[in-house]
Amino acid sequence: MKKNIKKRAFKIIFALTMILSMTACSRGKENVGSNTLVIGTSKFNGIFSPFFYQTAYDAQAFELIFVNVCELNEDNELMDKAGHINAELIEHEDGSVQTEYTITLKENMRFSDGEAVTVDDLIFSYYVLADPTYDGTDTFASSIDIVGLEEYVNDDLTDGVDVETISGITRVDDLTCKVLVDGINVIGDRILAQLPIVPEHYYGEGFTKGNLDGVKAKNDSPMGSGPFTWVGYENNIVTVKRNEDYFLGAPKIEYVKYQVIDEEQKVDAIINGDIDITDPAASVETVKELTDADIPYSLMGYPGYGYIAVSAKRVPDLKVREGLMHLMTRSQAIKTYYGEMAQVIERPMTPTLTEYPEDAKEYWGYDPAKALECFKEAGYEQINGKLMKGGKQLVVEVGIGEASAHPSTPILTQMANDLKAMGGQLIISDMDFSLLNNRVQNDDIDMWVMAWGNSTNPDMTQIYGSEYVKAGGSNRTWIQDKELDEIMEEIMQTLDLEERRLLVAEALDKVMSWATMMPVYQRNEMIIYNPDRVNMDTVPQNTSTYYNYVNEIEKLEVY
Amino acid sequence: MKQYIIRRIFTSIIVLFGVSFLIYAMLRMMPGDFVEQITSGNPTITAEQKERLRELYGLNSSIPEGYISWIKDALCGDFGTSFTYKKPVIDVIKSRVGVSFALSATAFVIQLAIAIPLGILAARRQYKKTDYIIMFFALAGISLPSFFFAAVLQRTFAMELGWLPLSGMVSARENYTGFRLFLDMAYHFIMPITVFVITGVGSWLRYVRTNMLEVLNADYVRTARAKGLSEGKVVGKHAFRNTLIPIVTFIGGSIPGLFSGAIITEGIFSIDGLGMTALQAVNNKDLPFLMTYLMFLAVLTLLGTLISDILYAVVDPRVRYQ
Repeated sequence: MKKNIKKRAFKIIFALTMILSMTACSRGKENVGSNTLVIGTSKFNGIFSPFFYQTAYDAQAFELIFVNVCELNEDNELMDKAGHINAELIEHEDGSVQTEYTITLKENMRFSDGEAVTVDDLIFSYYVLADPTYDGTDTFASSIDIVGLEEYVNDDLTDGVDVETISGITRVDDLTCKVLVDGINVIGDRILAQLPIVPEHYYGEGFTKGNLDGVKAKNDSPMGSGPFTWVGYENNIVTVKRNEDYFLGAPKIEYVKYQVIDEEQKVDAIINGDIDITDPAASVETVKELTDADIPYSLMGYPGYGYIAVSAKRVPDLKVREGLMHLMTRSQAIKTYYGEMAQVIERPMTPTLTEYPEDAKEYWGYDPAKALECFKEAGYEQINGKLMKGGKQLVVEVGIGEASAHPSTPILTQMANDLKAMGGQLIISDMDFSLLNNRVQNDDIDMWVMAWGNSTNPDMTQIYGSEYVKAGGSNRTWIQDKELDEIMEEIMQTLDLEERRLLVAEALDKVMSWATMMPVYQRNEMIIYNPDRVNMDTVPQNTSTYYNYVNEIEKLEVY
Repeated sequence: MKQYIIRRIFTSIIVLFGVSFLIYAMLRMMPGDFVEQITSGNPTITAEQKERLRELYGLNSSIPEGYISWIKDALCGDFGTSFTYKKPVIDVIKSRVGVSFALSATAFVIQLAIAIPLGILAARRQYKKTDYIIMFFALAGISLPSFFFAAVLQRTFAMELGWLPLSGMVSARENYTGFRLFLDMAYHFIMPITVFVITGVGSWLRYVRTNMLEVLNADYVRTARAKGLSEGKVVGKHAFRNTLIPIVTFIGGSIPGLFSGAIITEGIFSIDGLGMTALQAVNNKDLPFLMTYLMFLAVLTLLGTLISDILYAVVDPRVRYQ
C-alpha cells in the first residue's frame, strides 16, 4: 500500500515537472512569434463585418482585411487608396443642381482568394447598405441623396420587389462607375468612397433585394483585398495573416494578433512585453508612467467633444438658460482631471475638424453676478433667500453618468453652490448612462452632461436642425432656428473650404446664442508602442486623429 | 422517491414559466433598449432609422406580446439570435460556458480538496494554534476583494517576477495547437484559478469546520470513542461521513455558480467567459441573450436544489420522501 502511494506520488511529481518544463520551454522560445505583431484591444462582439459591426473593436479587428476606395490623410482630407473619386456639378436649366461622382478603381487588384476586384464589388456594397431590411448602424442610405435611392429603400417588399435598382448608380466598365446625386453634398465623396471593397462573389451568395442572410452568414469570416487575410477568432484573440498579393506589396509582418486586454492593464502589458501596440486612455499619470519606462507614444485629438446641454423645451426661458451658462466654470475642472491631455473648447464641434473656428472666444463666461441678473430678467425675485417666480423656486435637474469619475462633475458642484447662494437649486442626478440616455431621449431632464463622438465632417443638421426635435431625433436641446437651419444646409453645399469655415463659425455662434450647449472639452487619445518589438522608424511620423500605423501597416516592422 | 422526483419536476416547470415571465417583463422595463444603446453618441442616426431598427429587432411590441412570441419560440427550441453577437444565443452560450466551467470547476475541486481536510483539522484542534491559523487565513481569503487580490497577484507574479502571464487565455505571440495549446491555456489560468480558490475556500472551510464540530460532540462519536476505536477511525469513519450530509446539499446549491461565470475575474484576466458576456449583454440590453442566460441559470438552480434533495436522501438513510 505504502509502495503504491510512493509510486503514485512519483508519477504526479514527474508529470508536474514535465508540464512546468514544457511551459518554461514555451516562454523561452521567443523566435517563434518574432514576426507577429500583437495589438491590445478591448472585448469583441465577434461581428467582423464591415456592414454589421457595432463596436470600434470589432471594426479594428477586420480593418486590415479590406481596402477602402479612398481614405483620410493626417489632415482629414480624402486621399486615393484603392481608387479615385471625382465629382462634377451638373446645373440644370430649371436651376436645380446635381452632382455626378465617377469612381475608378485601380487595376490588377485581387481579393485574397485570387478573384479580380471590379467595380461590381463596390456597387454591391451600396446595395447592401441600401437594402430595406438592412439592420446595421451604417447611415449610408440616409445621408446621401442618390437618385432613386429613396424609392429603392422605401420599396414595400410585402407585395414583391417594385424597384429593382437604384437608378442613380451606373456601371461604366469593369473598374468604373458613376453615381448621380441630387444637390451638392460636401461629404458625398466620403460617403461613397470611404467604403471597403468587399467581394460580391463571396458576400453576395444568394443575395437578392430584401435578403441579407448570405451577407450575415459571413459575419465571422471576413474576406477582402486588404494587406491581411482572416485566420480566426479564438480564445479572445483575432489572428490575421499577411496577404502576399496585396496591391501595395506584401506586408513585412507575417501575423497580426488582436489580444483582448483590460483597459487598466494596457500600459503594464506593453511594459511587460505581452503586447506591442495599444491605446490606453490618455491621462497625466499614464504619460508619466510611459516616460519613466521609456515607452514611446503618439498623442492625437479625439474626434469628438464633451458638453453640458440644457433642454430649451424643459427650460424655455432663454434668460434662465443664459443664467445657467454664466454659472459654468470649465477650465479648472478640465485641468484637474486631464492636465495637458485635454483642452477646453469654445464651440460645440470637435477641433480636429478643419472647419472648427480656432479663434472663437469664450461666449458666456463665468460670472455669478451676471447670472443673477439674467434670472431676475427672467422674472425671478429673491424672496426670503429663495429665487421665486409665480410661487415656484428655480429648480433645475442635471443628469450625469458616473459623477464620481467624470471630468465635468466639479463644474456642476460649483454651479450648485452658486445657485444655492442665490436661492435656486441645482439637483445633480448621478445615474447609469443608459438611464440618463433614456431620459434625454424622452425629454425628461432639464440638463445633462454627455459627449458626441466620431465626427469626421461638419454636418450638424441632425444635432441642431429644427426637424430633428421629433422623438428619436438627435436634437434633444430643442434648438429651433430657421436661420440656423439655412446656414447648416448651406454648409453642406459649400465646396470652398474658406467659405465653409465662415459659415460654420456663424452657425456655431448661433447655436451658442441659444444657451443650450456649453462645449466643455476635447480630450486626447493615445497609441503606445513597445520599442523592443516595434521598429519605431517604420511607424508613420505623421500619426494623427485620422492617420496612424494601420494606414501603412504593410511597411511596419517588428524585431 | 420516483413520485417525489416527478412531482418536483412538474412544480419546477410551473416555477420556470413564472420566472421567465418575470425576467422578460423586468428586462423590457429597463430604461433604454438595444437600439438606443447602439445608436447613442452617433449624431447622424435618424428617428426613422431607429424606428426601423426597433421593428427589425422586434422591440416595438408590448411586453405580453413580446413574451408570448418569445415563449412560443423557446418551447420549440429556438432561443433567438443575440442582438450583440448576431448569432443564435445557444451558440454564444455554448462557445463560452466551457471556459467559465473549466475555471470554476477546477477551482471548486481544489477548494474542496483544501477545505475538507483543513476544516476537519481545525475542528479537531478547536481553539488551538492550528485552528486559529487556519481560520485566520480562511477569513482573510473571504475578506479579500477579488479585483484587489488579482491585481496583487498580477503585480507580483507577472510584472515583478515574470513567472506568469499578465492576462489573456493563450500567448498571443505563439501559434500553438493541440496539447501545447492546452498547456499554454492552463499556464494562463493559474492566476485566475488562484483568485477563485483563495477568495472562495474560506466559506467552505468554515462550513466544514462547523459541521465537524457539531458531529464530534454527538453521542455516537462519544460511543465510538468509548468502544475504544482509534481516533483515526472515529474521525474518518464515524464523524466525517456524517459531516458529508450537509456538505453534499451545499454542493448541489453551488451548481449554477459553476456555469454562470465570474464577471470581475474574467474581466481582469481578459477571459472570454460567460460572466463578462452576461455583463456586456446587460449593458447592451441584449434581450434574447439575457433571457436565455437567466433561464439557463434558473433551470440550473432548480436542478441544483433537486439534486441536493435527492443526494440528501442518498447519504442520509433517515430521510425518505413520500
